[in-house]
Amino acid sequence: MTEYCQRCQKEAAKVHVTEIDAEGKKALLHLCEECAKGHGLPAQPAPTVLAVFKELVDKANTVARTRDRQCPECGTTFAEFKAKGRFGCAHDYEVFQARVVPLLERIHGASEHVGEADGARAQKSASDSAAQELRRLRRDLQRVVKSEEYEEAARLRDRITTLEKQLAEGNQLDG
Amino acid sequence: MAETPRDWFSAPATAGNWMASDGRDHEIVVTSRVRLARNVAGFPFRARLEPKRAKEVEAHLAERLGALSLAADQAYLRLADLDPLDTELLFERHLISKDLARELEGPRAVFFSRSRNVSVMVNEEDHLRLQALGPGGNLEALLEQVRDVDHLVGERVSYAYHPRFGYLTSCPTNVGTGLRLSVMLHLPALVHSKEIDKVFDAASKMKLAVRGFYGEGTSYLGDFFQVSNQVTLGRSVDKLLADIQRVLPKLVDYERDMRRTIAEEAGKGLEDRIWRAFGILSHARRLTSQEALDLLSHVRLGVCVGLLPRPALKTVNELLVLSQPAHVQLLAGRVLTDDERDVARATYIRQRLEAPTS
Ligand SMILES: [Zn+2]
Ligand SMILES: [Zn+2]
Repeated sequence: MTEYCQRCQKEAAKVHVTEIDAEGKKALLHLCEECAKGHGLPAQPAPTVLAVFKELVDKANTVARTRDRQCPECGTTFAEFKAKGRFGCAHDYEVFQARVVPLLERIHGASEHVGEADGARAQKSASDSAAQELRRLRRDLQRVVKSEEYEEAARLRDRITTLEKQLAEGNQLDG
Repeated sequence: MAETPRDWFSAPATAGNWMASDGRDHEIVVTSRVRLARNVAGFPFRARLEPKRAKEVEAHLAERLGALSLAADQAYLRLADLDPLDTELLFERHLISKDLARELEGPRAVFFSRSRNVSVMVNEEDHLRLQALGPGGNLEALLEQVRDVDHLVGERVSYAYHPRFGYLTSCPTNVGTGLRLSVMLHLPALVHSKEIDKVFDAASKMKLAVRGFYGEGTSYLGDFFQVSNQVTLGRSVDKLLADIQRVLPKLVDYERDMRRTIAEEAGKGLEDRIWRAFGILSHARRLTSQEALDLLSHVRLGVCVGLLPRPALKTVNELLVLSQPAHVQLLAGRVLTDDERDVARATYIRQRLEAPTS
């Protein structure tokens, strides 16, 4: 009896591949040549963090070999982060800032958070970060105008106007 | 414990509800998910969380999440209290991730409301993963839902937050907004016509990631693909939403055009393939979950392009959920071996497809 391809159920199965299926168990797949070709579906297009990371770190190492710092809070070293791709605690972002920023630039094309701030924290640090946010918004505005993202530009412009007003009022109160 | 996931998910008729069977683009945009990653300030992240501290995080969050009044049917479940079958059911309903269900250790929990389709995972890769799920492509509504929950939780929990980097996460790919907007698309025509590579290329250029059926780190099954934003930092939540919403209609149109093309030009070939899938599902005596998913994918396409007069799309959606391993066992009412499962799966699908009312 001919064994048929499990995918198209039409051609004779000539290729037999072992795969980990949805249940996490090993399954033997019987496919025709045509379906076997399609079976190895395209790989993930996104570079994994580790891959991006390794490239970046290798580059950095050739430029300057610095001693590995350690997070005083959780004990994570940069080498450890590099191996796992995971931070040990919130402080790591600051401890390794010099190397985290280029990594974030690489992953996100940016290294600064935009938009809604954490509620409770936002109030506390509102005054000192308003000026900083304003600078950032102006920079973003230039960027989106250049890339013709007009909706976003309008939104940014509104936000800038609001912030400018807030800052002006704050300054009057101080003075 | 009074009720378990087993009790909640035992009605087959509701199994397909989280997938679209009507509405705009329902034949291609199956389901959507919005999630936010958050960590609790003052505790190390997952990678450095010792067992004792992990317990503290869980207790801290159990108390605060338990105090929320989100919905009448909200529940907080510790995974340690659950039977493996219940855990798998939660996973197969996409309420918890593969990692939370199978890979991670230590105290883990999920807080969720079935009526609101909201779930909050505790001690996943981040201390908190808040998510909302729903049929179709209504990302905006889901985002609003999950933001509501985020604000409620944020009033009681101090999040790890940095003025420059935003919400801090274990993995640098989630930092900033912590937001992942994903849409599950059924793209059998693009796979069939081998155009899917172009979609992957285009998605990558537009900073979108394409993942498998169960999300991150899972394989592509049954021509279902999860498309989501890759970038989480440097763009506002609203911008990220606008970005993905601009691209989605293009992907949907691409699949729709391709369905039309293959239905017309290579009509016979595709028609044959779809009917074969229907034939096997209607008559096979054993089906693995992978095979069932592949065949159901073809039948779903057949129903959507009008080549198959039955079953109803709702039935196909139900079968996609119910043919998963834990659901097969739920239907059987007992734990089954691999072999028994394949037989039970085939029997159930056969019965559902035989009934002329389906
Ligand atoms: Zn084949
Ligand atoms: Zn640390």
